[in-house]
Amino acid sequence: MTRLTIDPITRLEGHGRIEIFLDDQGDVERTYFQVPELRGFESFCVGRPVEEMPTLTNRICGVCPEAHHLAAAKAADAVYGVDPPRPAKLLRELLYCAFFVTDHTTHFYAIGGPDVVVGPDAPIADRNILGVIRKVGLEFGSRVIETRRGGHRVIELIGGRRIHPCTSVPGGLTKGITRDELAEIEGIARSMLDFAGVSLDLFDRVMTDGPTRDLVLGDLFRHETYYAGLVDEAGRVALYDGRVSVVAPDGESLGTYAPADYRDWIAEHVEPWTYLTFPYLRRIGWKGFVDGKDSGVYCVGPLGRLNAATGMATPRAQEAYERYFATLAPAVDGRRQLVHQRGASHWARLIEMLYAAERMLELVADPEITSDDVRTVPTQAPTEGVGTVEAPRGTLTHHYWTDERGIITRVNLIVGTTNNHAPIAMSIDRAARGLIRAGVVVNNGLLDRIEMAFRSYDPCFGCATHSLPGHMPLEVTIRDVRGDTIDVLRRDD
Amino acid sequence: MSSGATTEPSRATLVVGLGNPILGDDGVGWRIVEGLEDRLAHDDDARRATGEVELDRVAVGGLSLMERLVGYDRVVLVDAIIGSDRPGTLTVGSLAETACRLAGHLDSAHDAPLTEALSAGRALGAHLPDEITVVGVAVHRVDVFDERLSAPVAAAVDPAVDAILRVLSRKPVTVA
Repeated sequence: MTRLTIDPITRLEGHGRIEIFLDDQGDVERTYFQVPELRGFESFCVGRPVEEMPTLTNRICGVCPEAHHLAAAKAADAVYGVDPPRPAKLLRELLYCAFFVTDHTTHFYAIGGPDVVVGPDAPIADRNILGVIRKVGLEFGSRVIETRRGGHRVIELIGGRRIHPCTSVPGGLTKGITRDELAEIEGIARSMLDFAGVSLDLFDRVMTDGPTRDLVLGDLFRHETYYAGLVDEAGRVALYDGRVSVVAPDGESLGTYAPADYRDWIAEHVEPWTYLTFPYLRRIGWKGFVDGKDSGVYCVGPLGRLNAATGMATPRAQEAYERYFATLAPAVDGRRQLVHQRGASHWARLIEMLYAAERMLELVADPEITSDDVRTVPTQAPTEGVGTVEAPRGTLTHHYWTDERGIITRVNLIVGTTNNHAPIAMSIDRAARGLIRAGVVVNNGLLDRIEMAFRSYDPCFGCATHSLPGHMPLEVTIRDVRGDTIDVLRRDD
Repeated sequence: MSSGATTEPSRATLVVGLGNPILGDDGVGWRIVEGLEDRLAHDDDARRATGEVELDRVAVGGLSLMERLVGYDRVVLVDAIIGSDRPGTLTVGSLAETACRLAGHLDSAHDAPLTEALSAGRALGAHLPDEITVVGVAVHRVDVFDERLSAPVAAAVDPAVDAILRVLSRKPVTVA
């Protein structure tokens, strides 16, 4: 009698556990993926002034405070029924694009990207930022650090602080930026744009490597789900604001909706074995952990955003977008196809990095960007409001209810990773099915492949579960048809 | 080509409280650094013994934390440790001795683990501290939003401040 155990997934947060149940042939019957939930966030918020939420929620975890800060600020705008002046929206978006470049850079070079840059078959000890530096040279490594430093500087200039911005308030911002600050931001944006281009070139080079190509293009983690993401008025990827576009697996649009209507579109399925919910498309319905047009499972994040949009709003990103689809999902009889391989997320992420850097340069060139008109002071009685942005890991929604004094009475958060909960569970199940036959783990890469499936989603259970910002010890148990534990495996076996 | 993190001038000593101050006992590192700040402001002897010290509190790990440590010769990290020790138990040791036991701030999913980030930083030529001491406080739960510490963990704040002062003064540290 043995038990299959997977050592810590060292680059994921919270504590996770996978239970794999086998049928009487010893094949995978069902896989359960559990992360513990942190509790008490709603009661922690209730009774506080809604103005505190932008600085409070950005402390939920250290990973994407900028996304929480702006989703909270937009929800607070909505609670007071106030529309920030255009310069405030431009500045918030500029901060946000700098954050996107920074976060995507970190993921590509230090977290998930090493799986493709160094190669999926490289030893685990090499699939990290050190392995990347060894493979692509010190200069790349220095530019990763330089890009991060530039991003943090832009966030500090607009957001008032590095890491945890504090300038967004209901109705806009507490301050604008000076011409000197603008010039500094422009220089940083130019450097980021160059680095994004160089990173896409690097991606082309590593894609000539067979194992990397298989990881990106292969069918191991191909799920034909729905996709969702914010789009602008022309249907192109939007990060700070827009309507949510939803597309079916065959590429047909299911429609778009204003973020405030999310409850008409999204429902949350509950399973008895996990605290985390599984959001799905209400109109399609929950049909279980299956893909296809009849299943309401949808996917967000870079892969979801590029599928849910019809293009990118900047020229070089649009070119990259067209090449991505031409390579991964060429049109059939003139009909657009979607990219369903989860490994393609790494490529999609770099296209978004390019877009965010190009967009920064558009924003810094806007004549209103240094305007002092950065706040519309709220005058209406507060009620209820929804704020949505695209976090790097997917659509992030904050929904607050307040009393007439603006004191929080109820809070609902749907974070990027929660949207992806069902697809992540499906990818883990796929990995288990592909790699366990007749009760035997047939591929020593099981642990690695499960981790790679996780990492392509860039999951952050830090806020999905309101969990601790730590690594994720993960244990996998394989049980036979009677529920008895049958196998143990460790990474170093 | 700029060489990334390499150009910062060398500074003396940095004490960093790690953790999330709204996650109950996870915030103990922040509270200890606040206690240290208070002590240094009011105790001339302590200030003379420690020399020039910079204090900070952060809720990040990995690359971000490594970037924060650039330019210092010596660093003390103050953090919660999840494990079987009785809550409030103090641990003082080198980073190598302690890293795997910390509550995870040194080993974030959205970042490289701190030890990996330090190696990367050094490979890129950054001036990073050779001496990193970790002062840890054992906690059991960091999964409920709360701005308060539990009683046994709160009771460890003052002894932890004493321990940091001894580390900074290069006096031997013994912990219960």
